[in-house]
Amino acid sequence: MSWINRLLGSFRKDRLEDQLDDELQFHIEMRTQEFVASGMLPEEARHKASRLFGNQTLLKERTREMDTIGWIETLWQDLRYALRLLRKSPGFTAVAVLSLALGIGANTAVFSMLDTLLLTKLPVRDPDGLYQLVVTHRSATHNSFAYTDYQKLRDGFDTFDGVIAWTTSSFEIQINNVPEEVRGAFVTGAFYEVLGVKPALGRLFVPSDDTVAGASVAVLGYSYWERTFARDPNVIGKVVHIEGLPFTVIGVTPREFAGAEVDYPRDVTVPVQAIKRLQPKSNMLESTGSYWLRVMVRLKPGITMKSARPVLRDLWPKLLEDDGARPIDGWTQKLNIEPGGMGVSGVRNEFSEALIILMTLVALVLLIACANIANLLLARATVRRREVAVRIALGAGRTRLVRQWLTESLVLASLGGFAGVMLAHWITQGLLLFLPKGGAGFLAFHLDIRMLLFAAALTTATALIFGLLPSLQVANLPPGSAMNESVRGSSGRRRTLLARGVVIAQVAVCLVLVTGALLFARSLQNLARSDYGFQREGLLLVNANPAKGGFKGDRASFFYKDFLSSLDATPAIRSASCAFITPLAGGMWWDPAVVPGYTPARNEMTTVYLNSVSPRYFATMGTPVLVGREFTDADDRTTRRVAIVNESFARRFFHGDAVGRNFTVGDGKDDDQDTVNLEIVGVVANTKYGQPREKQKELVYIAMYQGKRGASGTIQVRLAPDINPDAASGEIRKIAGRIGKEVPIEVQTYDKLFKRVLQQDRMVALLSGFFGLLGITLAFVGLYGVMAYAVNARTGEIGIRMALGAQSRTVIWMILKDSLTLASWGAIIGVPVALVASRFIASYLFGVTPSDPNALVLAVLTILIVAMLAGYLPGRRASSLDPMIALRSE
Amino acid sequence: MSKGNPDVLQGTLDLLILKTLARGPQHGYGIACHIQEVSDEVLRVEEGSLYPALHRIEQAGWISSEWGTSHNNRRAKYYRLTAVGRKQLAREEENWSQLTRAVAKVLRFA
Repeated sequence: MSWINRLLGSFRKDRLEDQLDDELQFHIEMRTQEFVASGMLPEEARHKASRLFGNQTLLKERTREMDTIGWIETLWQDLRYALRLLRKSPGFTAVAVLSLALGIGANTAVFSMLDTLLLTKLPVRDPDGLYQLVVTHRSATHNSFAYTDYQKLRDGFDTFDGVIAWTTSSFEIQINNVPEEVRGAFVTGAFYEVLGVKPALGRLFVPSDDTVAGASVAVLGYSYWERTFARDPNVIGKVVHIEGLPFTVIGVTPREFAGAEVDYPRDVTVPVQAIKRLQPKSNMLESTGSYWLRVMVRLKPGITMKSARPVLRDLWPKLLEDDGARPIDGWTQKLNIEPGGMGVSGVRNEFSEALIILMTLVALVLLIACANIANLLLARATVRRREVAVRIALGAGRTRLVRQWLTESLVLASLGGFAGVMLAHWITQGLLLFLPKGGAGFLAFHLDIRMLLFAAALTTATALIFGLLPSLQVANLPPGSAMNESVRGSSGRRRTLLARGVVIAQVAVCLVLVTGALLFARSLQNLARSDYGFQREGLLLVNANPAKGGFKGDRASFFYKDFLSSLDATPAIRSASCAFITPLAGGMWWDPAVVPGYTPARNEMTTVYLNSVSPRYFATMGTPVLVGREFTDADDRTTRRVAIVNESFARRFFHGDAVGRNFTVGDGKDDDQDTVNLEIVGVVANTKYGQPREKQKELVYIAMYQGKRGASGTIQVRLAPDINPDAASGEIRKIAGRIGKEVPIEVQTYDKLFKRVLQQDRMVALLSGFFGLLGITLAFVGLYGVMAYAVNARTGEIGIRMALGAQSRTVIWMILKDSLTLASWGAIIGVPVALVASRFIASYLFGVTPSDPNALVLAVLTILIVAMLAGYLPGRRASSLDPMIALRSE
Repeated sequence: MSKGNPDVLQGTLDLLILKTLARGPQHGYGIACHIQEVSDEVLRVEEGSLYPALHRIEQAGWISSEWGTSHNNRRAKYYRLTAVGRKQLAREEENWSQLTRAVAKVLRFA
């Protein structure tokens, strides 16, 4: 293999050179002997023998070329040269490598999160052939189904090649009498078969396991097996106790597969039918109104997502009709199909947009950092002009010079990239602090070939961005020019122009970054301060689980009634109530309204959103009752069904005059439904329902104690003024303990829930603020560098001006003006870019338009202040120069 | 063999080197002397062409080299024909005779 020899030869040049010398030396000596034998003098003979070779150096070079690969040899040279140079200026190297490491590290970290979230397929057979079923309604989508729905989907459609369903749940598992809370899942029998997951050990479920009789088997997750059983192969056949009931372990899933819900890697799975054993009294498997399963399908060959859609849409309502009347919160909407190859992830739904914004931010910061390094390299190029000129004069090729300078940039970038990959893990850990705990663990940094390729590509790109300008400048140096100091002016101005261009671009990018950060900060502030129609301060939320404490069925209502009246009687509590849905917590319940006398236009949706609330709910929430009354304890099953609507509802359907009118929500097939034939007894102020950003919805409240469901949901507690929430929650626990000792209770402030609601916005605002600040700092360094260089270059001129009587103020202003000019150009370019860019985040803003003039003006002002600072410091130094010394400097 | 069409001449030089080495291992000086002698001093291999050619042919794998001792007890680099080189030599000899036959025909015709 000749090229391997030559490759090796490229690195063993010295030895090759010695050998060649020996070889030629032998030849010369032999010739010399020959000539001496033919009668020449030894001296003359040696001379003649040598001359036969002509230019010996050239011969040697040509011969050596045969043994080596030329460009590798020069690359090797360039690399060593670059490293030597970087070692010689440790300050520059440290700053450049550190900023690149942070930049590349942050980009790699965010990319790894995006990769996991948006690009990683489930480790199953043909992940692209997996689809998730969802129910869409207007723009809202949900993916929960009843078990009966799953049965219909499995048996009623020819479209599907396989249908699976599952739900996640935490299990209390007992091994050797030690209880542990683990992540579990109920899966249908064909779950693993349809996904095409092969066991790491034993076997996985088959449909026959998923029967009431067979559902006493369990499959362990790999990491759980590793953690708890130290990968003991004898675990197969072992009996573990889940919620106190025995299950036999039959297999272990492979390491890479931890369930179809990627942010909930589960430890143990059991068949869906096991729910009958674990909760004997529940009717989860028969109820048509409990939506608790996620459903995924594979399509029959030849059927695409597109061709399946109309079938699903048409067939689904027909199948549902068999159920007869749907319960009040029937999701009788369109069945739809979505790609499912990446599995299901709540974190993905919630945070992918934020991560894309974050990716853009870190890319911009890296760009700004590159600009600084480009400027530093440009400055070095000027310093090394003499060296370059000498080399050009000695005949160095220009491409060779460019290559050498680019090699230097590449070495610098590689050092930064290498350190960045090292840092990426820590940066990811830092970013994860902004995401919900536990759920985002799967986003932790993973170093694989894709990450390395990304980091390498980024490194090369940065090297080109900051290295190309300086190296091209080197190549354009006219030969001999730099040897002659007097022409320094012209090429100095050239470099200054380049550096100024770089700084202007840097300021423009920085402006975009700062504008974005200001818009996000403003949005967060608006979100936090906005009035959502109720008072958030002094509000506690209590979640109770009366069923676990023995209050089952109708007795749960007794618990709630007792609990609420005891709370009301407590001096520290002004009032307490209960609601099925807590505002802004994300829960939803909707159906179309049928209002007598109101004929909807064609295609007009009359969807309204519902809540079931107890008496004193509006008093507790602090939502004003505008007309009529709240629910009272008298509104129970013995009296006629009443409703309270919000202002928007009253205005849309009754022109505001709603009290005393009747309407129905839902299909109204069954007179007995909770939402049929409601009489409006009150109108309340508008409140937000599901989330802060939604358009005002038409809301209907029904009386909790009239409903068949009875009391359930979350308890709201309004504290009396000046009551400490912690003290109050202790008291609330005590009261709950008196009523039902065993009932588990969770108390939190509404503010805590609200914080979680704003979590993503806070993450974006904080991180964009941080990166904005970083961008400003980098832009300041860039501007300062250029200004300081300008002062240096103009020392002579400044000296003359001062000698002629210029005031130091004038000198400072001269430099300041220069810096402000650069920043202004940056702003002139940056403002339109920011205006365009901010349109992409419009959906993300709240209470502020993308083209908000305040944000833009503030961003421009920030940039100008930074520019003034960056100009003032070198300006002041210039003004304190001694004119005589300054004049002599030239 | 200094001036002229380098492609033809280079190929010719390769052929001469390979043919010389077919007799047995030899160092660069020996190869040059042999070609000169056998051709009755008509062909003189220039040192400036010989060594680059030797190194190139070696990288092509036709010859291999090792350090040995010459008859006057000096360290010298000996080149040896490899199996691949032997085949290459046969090919080049064939090419060469075809070429000379063709040139001869042209000369006769004219």
